[in-house]
Amino acid sequence: MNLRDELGGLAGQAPSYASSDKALQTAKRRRAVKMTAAPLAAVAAIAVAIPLALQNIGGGSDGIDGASGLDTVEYITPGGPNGHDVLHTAGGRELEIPAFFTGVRTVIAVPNGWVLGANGNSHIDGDGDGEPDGGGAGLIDRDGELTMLTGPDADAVLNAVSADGSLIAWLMPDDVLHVAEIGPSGAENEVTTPVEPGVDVLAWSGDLLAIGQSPNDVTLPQRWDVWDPRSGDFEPDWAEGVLETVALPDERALVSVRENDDPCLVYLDTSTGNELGKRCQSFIGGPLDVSPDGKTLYLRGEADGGVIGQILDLEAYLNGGEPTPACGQGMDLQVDWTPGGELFVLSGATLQECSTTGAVLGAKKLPDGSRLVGSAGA
Amino acid sequence: MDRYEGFREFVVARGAALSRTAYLLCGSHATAEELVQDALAKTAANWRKVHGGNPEGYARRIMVNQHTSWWRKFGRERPFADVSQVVGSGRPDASRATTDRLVLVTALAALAPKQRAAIVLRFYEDLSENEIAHAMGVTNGTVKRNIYDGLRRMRALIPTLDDIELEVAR
Repeated sequence: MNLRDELGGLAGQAPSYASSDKALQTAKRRRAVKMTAAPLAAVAAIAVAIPLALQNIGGGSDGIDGASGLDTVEYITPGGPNGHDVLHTAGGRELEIPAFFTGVRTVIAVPNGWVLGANGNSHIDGDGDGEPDGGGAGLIDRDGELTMLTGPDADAVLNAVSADGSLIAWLMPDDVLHVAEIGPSGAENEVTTPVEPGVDVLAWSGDLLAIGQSPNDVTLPQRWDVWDPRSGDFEPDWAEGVLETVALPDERALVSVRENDDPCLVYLDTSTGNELGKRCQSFIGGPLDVSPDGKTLYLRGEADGGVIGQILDLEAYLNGGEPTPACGQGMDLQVDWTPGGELFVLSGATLQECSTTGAVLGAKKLPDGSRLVGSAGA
Repeated sequence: MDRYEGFREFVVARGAALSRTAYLLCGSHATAEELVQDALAKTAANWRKVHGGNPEGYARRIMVNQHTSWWRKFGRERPFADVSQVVGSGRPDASRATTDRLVLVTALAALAPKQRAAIVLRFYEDLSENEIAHAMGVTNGTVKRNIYDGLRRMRALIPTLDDIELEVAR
């Protein structure tokens, strides 16, 4: 087999869809910005402990009393009526999600339903007329009724829901950032702040909103501002080189940074700013998933030509320990934690329940293209 | 002067090529569409700076980094291709060609994002190591390592892969 020839043949299957008009519409909402940097220590001064009990909050009220393990997992699948996605609840219900194309980017279970966050290529059908109404985010109650949380003019990509599903942030085309509480009837107590043009990522760290900017609009976000929407405090130039921050119990934080091309994990005491541990290793990559007790970490890593999931005892790993055998292998690893510290891993169409030692406790097949929402039993 | 003068012509001339590269990078029509449109939007936003240089290289670099970024941020990588699309593609020498294509799809799906990007840029785009390093925002050494590791992995899955490919990477 000749690799060049075969790649050429395979590339020929790509559809032609590049649109200058669509690109120009998006481009006119974006401009580049350059910002100065602050040291990593600044992260510790701002990172706050997330009330982790609120993470993975789950639905919990959809007729699942007594259910456990794999049966409590909720997930979405493509290919529903009208091209919409379908949400499969822990109680066995199938709810049509009013979203098109590649599906919503995030689905977070909240006490009274699910919050959907769309992306640039997945539009929410806000008025149910079968036509896309833009990006943004919406709240679906347990009867399947949709309430839009953002207007259709919101930036289609830049919206973020906090880990506990209580807050939503979104960017408007005039570079004004909005944050609102997600209440039973939709967005409440909305506040706003102007931001510099060029925002590339929004991410919650507890109840603080991190606002990422990419130098040259090309690479991963390198510069971060932080806004506390409750107090109104806005701190520009929060940190540089930070890929992700996860707040842990007891005023600790885990920060993923990039140093000299290598990804590193830094363990911080947020009350003092002291670095408690650090390890750089080439296999580290992907989003950080931390157990509710903050002791175990699930990482997607590149290893020997593939992508594998690694389970780490955080403190042991930072002191030189090695990861446990992988739970999950493949390009698309989605994770959720149980209250007992075990985890669910969706890899391709296979859903596994694993212990923190890597032992597989159970497994079942889901439809192709499924995305994990979370465990309603959590 | 329109700040976007020449942009539409650029998309008409090179949009399809960028789409093909995006498809090889991610293996999903829908994700490839997102990659291309996002890259074109960013290229348009900086059109005044890049249109006199190498806008295609600029857009390609955005796609490569964005794809890795999405994987890191969202873990949203999808299987490389729908096998039914591959089987249904049809060619005169269908049985052998289809088999080869399926094998290639499987092997590419087994690669890490950076390895796949390096392989696609080297053997589909025919870029030099320097050009790949620039497109991926990494050092030449990292490019070499990714190509070598990627080819070694593919070779394990495709024993009939031409020997010369491994020689090229050394």
